[in-house]
Amino acid sequence: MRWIISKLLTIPIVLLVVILILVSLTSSILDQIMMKQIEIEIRRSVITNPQYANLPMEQKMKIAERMKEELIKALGLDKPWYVKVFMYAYSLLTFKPIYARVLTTRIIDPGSPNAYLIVLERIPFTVVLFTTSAIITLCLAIPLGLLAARKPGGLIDKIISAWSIFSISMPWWWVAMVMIWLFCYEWRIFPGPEHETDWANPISVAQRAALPVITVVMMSTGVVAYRIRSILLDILTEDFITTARAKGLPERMILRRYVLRVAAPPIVTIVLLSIVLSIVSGAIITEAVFNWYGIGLLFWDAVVANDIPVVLVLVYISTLLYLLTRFALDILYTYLDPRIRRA
Amino acid sequence: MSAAEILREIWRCWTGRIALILLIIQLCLAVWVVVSTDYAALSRKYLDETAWLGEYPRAVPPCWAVPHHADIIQLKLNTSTMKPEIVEKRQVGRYTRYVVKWSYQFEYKGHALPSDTLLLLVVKRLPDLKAYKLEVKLLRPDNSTVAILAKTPITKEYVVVVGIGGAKGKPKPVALNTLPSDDPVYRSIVDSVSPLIGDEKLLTELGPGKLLWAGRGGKALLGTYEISVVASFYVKGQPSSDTNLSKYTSVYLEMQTLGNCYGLMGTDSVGRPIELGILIGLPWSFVISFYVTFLTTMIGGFYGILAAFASGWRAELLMRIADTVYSIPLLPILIVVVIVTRSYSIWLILTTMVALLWVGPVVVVRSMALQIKSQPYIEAAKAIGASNARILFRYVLPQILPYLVALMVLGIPDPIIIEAALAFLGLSDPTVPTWGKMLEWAWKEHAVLNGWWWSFLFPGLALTVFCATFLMLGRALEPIVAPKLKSR
Repeated sequence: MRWIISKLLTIPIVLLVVILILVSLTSSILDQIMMKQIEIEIRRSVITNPQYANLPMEQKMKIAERMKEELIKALGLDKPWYVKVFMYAYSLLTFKPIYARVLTTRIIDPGSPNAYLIVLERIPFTVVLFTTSAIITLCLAIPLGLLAARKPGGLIDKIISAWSIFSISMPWWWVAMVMIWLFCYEWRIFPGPEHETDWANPISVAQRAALPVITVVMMSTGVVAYRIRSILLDILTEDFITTARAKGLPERMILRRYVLRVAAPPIVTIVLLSIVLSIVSGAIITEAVFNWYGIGLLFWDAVVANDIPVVLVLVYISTLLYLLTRFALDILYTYLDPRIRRA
Repeated sequence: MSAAEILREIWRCWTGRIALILLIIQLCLAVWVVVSTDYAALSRKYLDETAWLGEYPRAVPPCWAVPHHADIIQLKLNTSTMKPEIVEKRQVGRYTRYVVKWSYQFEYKGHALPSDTLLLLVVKRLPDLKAYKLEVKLLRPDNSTVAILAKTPITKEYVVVVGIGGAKGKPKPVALNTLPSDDPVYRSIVDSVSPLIGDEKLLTELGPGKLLWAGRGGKALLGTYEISVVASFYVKGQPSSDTNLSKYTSVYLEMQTLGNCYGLMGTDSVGRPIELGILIGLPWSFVISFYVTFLTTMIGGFYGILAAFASGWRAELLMRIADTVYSIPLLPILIVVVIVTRSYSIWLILTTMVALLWVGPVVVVRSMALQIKSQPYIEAAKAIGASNARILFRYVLPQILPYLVALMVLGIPDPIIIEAALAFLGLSDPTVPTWGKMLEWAWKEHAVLNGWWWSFLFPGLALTVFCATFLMLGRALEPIVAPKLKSR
């Protein structure tokens, strides 16, 4: 129990650190954005307000100036930067709406500039793409890892070792480029990334998903199988396996009953963790290359459009998701592996 | 174990052997590039898209991938040194009308179209000539005539009719396919070829630079070509002899075909050779990866040992800090740092990477140090009265150091791949030529869509080979370095 609590405690700490880094980096830009919002507010309430329509321009400007000062004070924009950093951090933590500069939503409430909605509507696409890939990867990698571990140094082991080396050495997005060139333009098997897709229609989404899933599976299976093999080989040298062998149990039974039972928790966590990690890191660009309507493409769009509020929210949300999944995986691990619970 | 022994051990397994050979080749190439060329100037030129005009063909595949090579024609014709042919000489009132033709024959032998044609046409004339008109024609093997320059009046004494630059400095030839489609030269060539080709789509696809040499169906026309420059003008009075025509006017014509392939790896869309980019990027790959991994393993290793030797709440705090840093997603933070600071300096990027990546080795090193710390000989040393520092430097560090080296070698690919990702997003140092930047250029120029596979395949392969070298080396190194620790 104490262990879970201490793990739980790291989440807000990390989140706070990340937010403070983000906010202190972007506070001057956030200031500009807030000022712009104030300006819009004043324009709406004074300059274009029919109530004041009869007033002369000079007086209007005076009222506007006074309102501006009031608003700045009310929002705390006149405070020194170190106070503002915490102010901004607080508004991030409480999910106060932040408005994008350029980008808008397309599915939920189309046209809304709310940065949280913009990020939220993309999350399902990323999750679908990478969970599908993760499931396929696991189905392929576990048998492969088993085969490799059965004969260390054998042919399958060598293939998996080489495969994993190349998967780590290649940027995924570069492989994505090569795959698109081969399968979309040279052989025209899959629709290309420029293909118009109705993102609300599951069938057309599935068509578009085929190539990205194949690519991600191709790139992650080797690495995961190699990890599984290492985990299994570590377990195979333990004493209870020697005992089981000494008892004369068939090798197949040893693998299934003894090795896999012990190996399951690290395998599950490592695979899921590596996939979650890939979402917040490398997959950013893979999605952009495939023009897949997920978080990664949003990163690309936001960077290209220089839409800093969206980048900010995106980093915040993806860190949050990453931490929560890591925490969930830790719990899962303890649930699967009773040895840790006791320790 | 000495370094020589470790090397011998690595050499024994085949992946290690391949890795060592690849590493030596890459190191030699990197040193060679930096030493034998003016590296700074070369990389500056490589990053400048405008510096490559007409030097190499644009967006052509490597030569081994092309079945037929285009012929490289290089003509430099100066009419003042050529024998003129007087087509017409007629008295009109007080003037004499001249039509003079200079022509030159050459062979086109290549079985493929060139990728483009460079052309420079400069005219000089005396000011008192009247109604000066110039025409340039290409008579082709199939007896068709292509008007490169339809009859054009030349009114000034010195005109660069086709070319870049003029009034000051030496004019440069222009690649015909880069001309706008409403340019008179473009129109004239396309219009005179169009009855032969017919297909409108093919016409725009090939462009004038290729159409000059194209026959029916867009195939290359082989055989004898004749290029002729025809000038017509009126001269005051009645010149007694025609031998001194070049004093009235002279035309300089430069024509060069650009090949349909280039070198080992082709060129990108502005005519930069890909192989040159890969060579220029190699030293930077070493700098980026070594800078980051060296610092991260050193900091992380030291931190890990420190955490192992600390006790109570200090150890807890150290590990919590490491855990926190470990949970910060790297790429998003890097993106924010670069965007917000608006400083695309490579050193800022690398230092940010170090600031977040140093936690990598902490956990492993700490558990190793803890394991060593609990050994009886450490207790014995303590009992004799050895200080903490002595234990650290005499007993712990020498055992962990080889493993740190292995970790460092295995960590080499990370910074390179992250830097490439940043470069691909357009967030890399504009003064540093890296492979990631080449991939970005390829993507921005729609190389994938256009099928220019060489412009993204080779930079990516270079990256893969570079990373794989160190991964293979690291995997070969790991069992040599690690079991020593385990067996103790």
